[in-house]
Amino acid sequence: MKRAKRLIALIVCMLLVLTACGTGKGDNSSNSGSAGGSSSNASSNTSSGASSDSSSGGGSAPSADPVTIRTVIKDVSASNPMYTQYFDALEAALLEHEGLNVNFEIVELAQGKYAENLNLLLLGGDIPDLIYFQGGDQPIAAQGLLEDLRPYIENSKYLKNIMMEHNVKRIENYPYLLWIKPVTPKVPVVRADWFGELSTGKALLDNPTVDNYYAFFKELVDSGKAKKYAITVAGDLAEINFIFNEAFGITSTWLKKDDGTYEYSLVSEAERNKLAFYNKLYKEGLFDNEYMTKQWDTKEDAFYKGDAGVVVGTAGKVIDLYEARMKELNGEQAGLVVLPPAKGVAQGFGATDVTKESRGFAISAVSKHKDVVFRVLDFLASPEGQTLDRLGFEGQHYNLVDGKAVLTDAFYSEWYASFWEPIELNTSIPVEGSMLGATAQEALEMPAKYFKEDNNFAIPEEHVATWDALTNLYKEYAADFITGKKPISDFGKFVDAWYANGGKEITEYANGLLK
Amino acid sequence: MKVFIHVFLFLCTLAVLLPLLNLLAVSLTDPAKAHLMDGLDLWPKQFSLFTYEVLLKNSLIAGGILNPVFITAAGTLLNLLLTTMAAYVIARNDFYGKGLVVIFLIVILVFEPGLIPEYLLVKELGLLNTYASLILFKGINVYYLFIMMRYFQDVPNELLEAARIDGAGHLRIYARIMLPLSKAGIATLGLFYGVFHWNEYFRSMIYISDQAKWPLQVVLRQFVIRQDNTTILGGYENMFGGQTVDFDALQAGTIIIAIVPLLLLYPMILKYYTKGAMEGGVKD
Amino acid sequence: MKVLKKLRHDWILYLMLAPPLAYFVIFHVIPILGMRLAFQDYRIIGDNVWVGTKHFEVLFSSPAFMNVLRNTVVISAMKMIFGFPVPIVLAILINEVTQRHFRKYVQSIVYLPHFLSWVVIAGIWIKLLSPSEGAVNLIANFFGGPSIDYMTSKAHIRWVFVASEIWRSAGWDSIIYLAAIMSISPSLYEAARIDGATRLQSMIHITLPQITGTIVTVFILNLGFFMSAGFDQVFNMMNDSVISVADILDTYVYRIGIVNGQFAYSTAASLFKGVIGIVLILGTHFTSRRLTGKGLW
Repeated sequence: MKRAKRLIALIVCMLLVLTACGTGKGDNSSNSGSAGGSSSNASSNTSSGASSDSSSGGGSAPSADPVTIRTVIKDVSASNPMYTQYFDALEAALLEHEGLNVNFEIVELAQGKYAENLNLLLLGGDIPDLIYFQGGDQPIAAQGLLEDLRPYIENSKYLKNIMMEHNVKRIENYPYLLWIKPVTPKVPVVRADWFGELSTGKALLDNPTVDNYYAFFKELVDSGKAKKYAITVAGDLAEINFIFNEAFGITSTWLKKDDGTYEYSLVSEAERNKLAFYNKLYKEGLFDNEYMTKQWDTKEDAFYKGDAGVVVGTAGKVIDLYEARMKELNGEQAGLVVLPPAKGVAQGFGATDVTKESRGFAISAVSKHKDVVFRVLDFLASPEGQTLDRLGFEGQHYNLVDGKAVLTDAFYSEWYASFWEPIELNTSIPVEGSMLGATAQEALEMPAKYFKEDNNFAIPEEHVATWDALTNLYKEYAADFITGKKPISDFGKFVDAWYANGGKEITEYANGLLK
Repeated sequence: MKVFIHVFLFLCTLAVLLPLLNLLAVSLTDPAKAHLMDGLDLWPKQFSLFTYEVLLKNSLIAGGILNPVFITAAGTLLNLLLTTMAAYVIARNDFYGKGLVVIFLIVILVFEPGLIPEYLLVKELGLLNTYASLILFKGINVYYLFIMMRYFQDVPNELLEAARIDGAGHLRIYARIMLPLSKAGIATLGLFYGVFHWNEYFRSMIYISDQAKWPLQVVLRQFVIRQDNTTILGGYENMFGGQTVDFDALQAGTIIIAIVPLLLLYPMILKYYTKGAMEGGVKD
Repeated sequence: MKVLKKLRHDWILYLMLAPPLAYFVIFHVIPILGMRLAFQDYRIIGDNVWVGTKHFEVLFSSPAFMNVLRNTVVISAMKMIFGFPVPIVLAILINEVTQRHFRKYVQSIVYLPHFLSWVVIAGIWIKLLSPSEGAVNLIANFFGGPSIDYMTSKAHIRWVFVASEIWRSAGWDSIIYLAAIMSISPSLYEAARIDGATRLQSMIHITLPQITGTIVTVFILNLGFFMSAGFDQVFNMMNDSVISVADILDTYVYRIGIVNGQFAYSTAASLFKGVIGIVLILGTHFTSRRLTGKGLW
């Protein structure tokens, strides 16, 4: 009896395996991506697979059949009612204002690691019409799968008018990704009540020299307000560089020397002086001595707890969030003040990378509805489109009072624009008050004053590994200089090592490029 | 000696327990005060079950506990059956092709194809988006297979010889001798496979569950509007009836919830850890 | 025709082996064959382009590559030498505990850190080792010692990797050895006790030798993964100060692949690691068999 049972168990197992192979060998349900996810191909209209292409030209006569546009966007899922509502509203608005009959079909991806899951989807051959990228776009573009957007933008009705300077430059260099948002460097903030009580604070605002910054940091700690150190950052120098790079003369990635050739900023005298300054801050305990092991959450904790006086945060809504949390934990008077970048040789939050957008929307080159997709993007740049995208749903996120939109609490806590956000608001309904808190708004506007283009370029593939090694060489030397493990007089050794390990070749390449 | 052993082991458990107790304390702290907790606090600064309310109310746990239990059990049984059968054949027998099979297994052990080839295979088989793909994909773990082979090899030869002389065939030896005498080993592998399925289930369920209900997805959603990874703490008032949520507390709570089933399961496994499993097998 | 006779006798073995083998062939052979991607440029539309060893060359071309390899080998070796014995000792000690409740308590606690992700563990250990407020340094100060910033110290970071790895895995790994200890006949201990052996002697001369087979098996299997020195751990615990001594193959490959698409590079690295793994496994297996009579199979 037992033997029979075993045999049966064996046969069952084999059947299981065979069934697994047998199920749907041919059918690639092309609507969903990534192992383990569900295939909720839900959009609120019943969607049909293929659809007639009635998108030629730009006429405003409504097309007969709806054009299905498949789109994949991070964290957007059809199972979230807010998004089904949003896309319904968008479809309605497109029909009303542009005469476009569109049906959006949301492609579902598994949660987490968007870039990776998106890559799997695309590399598996499923390429939606409209794709949001947050990394991983270059290999796709390199295979010719992303549409060159320049001619579309040329002929656009609204888009080209809302593009900001850096967007224009980036599209010129890499015409596949579109992402119209303000430049958002990280800006230093400090508690308003502390700031008000420190005399060095005012001096800093009036004349933000490096020395005045130093004095301000010193007073923050000496006065006992900042419990441990004046400033902390999340793991590396990127954040503090926003404040001090330009003051020391690091105005772009490649600096022009007196003889007309370019040298890499990280091996320049300017860098040396800056690192010496950071070392001074570190030695005196003004710069968090454990900055290297801080992550974004421990950095914020230090700020809210009062261990750190100043932190650096992304301009815009993030500053709002910092401020809200700070007030919540420390009282209404603990709002935030945005500090200006240090002034010296130059002033600003650093040069802006214009080689390409780091994230954004792309149109598939193999899409059958490229024109329609672009018209959708164009519409989102129009006043009506902007109203929907930036303000949300009437009655829920804003109320119409005297023809103006009054934003509700729901707006501040859950709504944000999925597409374009030019600094100048151009919604069809004027907005009462501001969309961001005053501090956040200032954080956004300040950088615009200092905008300048960077001259960095994409490292060609044959140099990628070398560049990685050189980057790490710098990081480690810089860490040692700042913490005092190596004397700053060794900077020359670093420079020599940098050139010897491939820096010379890359500098030559740069000089060829940047003539 | 006995005292030394007890003290040493106790210290080991402390080394492990203290950080976990800290996590427990953080998860039980009122979100408004959670940021004040540091790594050495073992007691909540202000007791509150709020974090657990959030997690349990809105998470997949609310979706029913039977499903993951069933899937874990089914998957584990399949794993054990396949693994033990293969282990018996290879460990205790010589047959033509054995060397090839072993080399084949070693190759599979050390080469990790990575995401793309595996993903493409799953797609080709039409198993995309099915949970079956997960069960079948890890049907046998080669590392565990070799361990099982070792456990089987430790069964004394006399027993097998005796059985063979008595005329027992392979299936009988497998079922009547190998399996019963390797209870601890089978329980161990059952634990390993079980834990794997359990974790996989929740990982994949996050993909399937209704996005609108999962609060952390709101957190994740917000990451897209910013270039950095700052957390949202202030924006949750409306979601949770006026109370704010703390990221650290949420994270700690998630970890604690994941560990609890294992704390319950492990003592059951320990039942099979009986000494002298081989006793009584040898008749003389 | 002895061959045929044996085959006929063994038919049921082949039958028992069939489902597992079928599983392996279907779910593992094809992806492994897919690793030829390491020699190709993947094309979404159209055929992949054969590029030979280009990806390997790019990976090996970094001036830091030898350093990366060295770190991988050293860190892996350190974990092997210092980390490998710990679960064994732990299992043997737990086995000595006869008090049922205490034993259950220890067993149920000691494996828990295994379930924490390295993101969490890195956070815990960073706090633990903080020079200003971490427990380790506070205790050292109490006894008059200096505060050491372990996480940013080139001299100490590898030890931090080893220690945290042990903390995380020793309990979980000891389970395998405990199961093996269960099959030791108590009569052996009886006989030893009668002969007057101490506890320590029993542990060393009975328990240990009896689980040699398991020890060898686990050791050889782990060697198969020698070149994977622990990506998640190093990735989460590394910082600018210690790059030159902590960067391992997997973290290096990860960075290189970020912009240009990882898969070709990581597949190439996997192939590299796999080949070394096979060589190590086969080498140690045959050596061990000759020395101790026990190997992997």
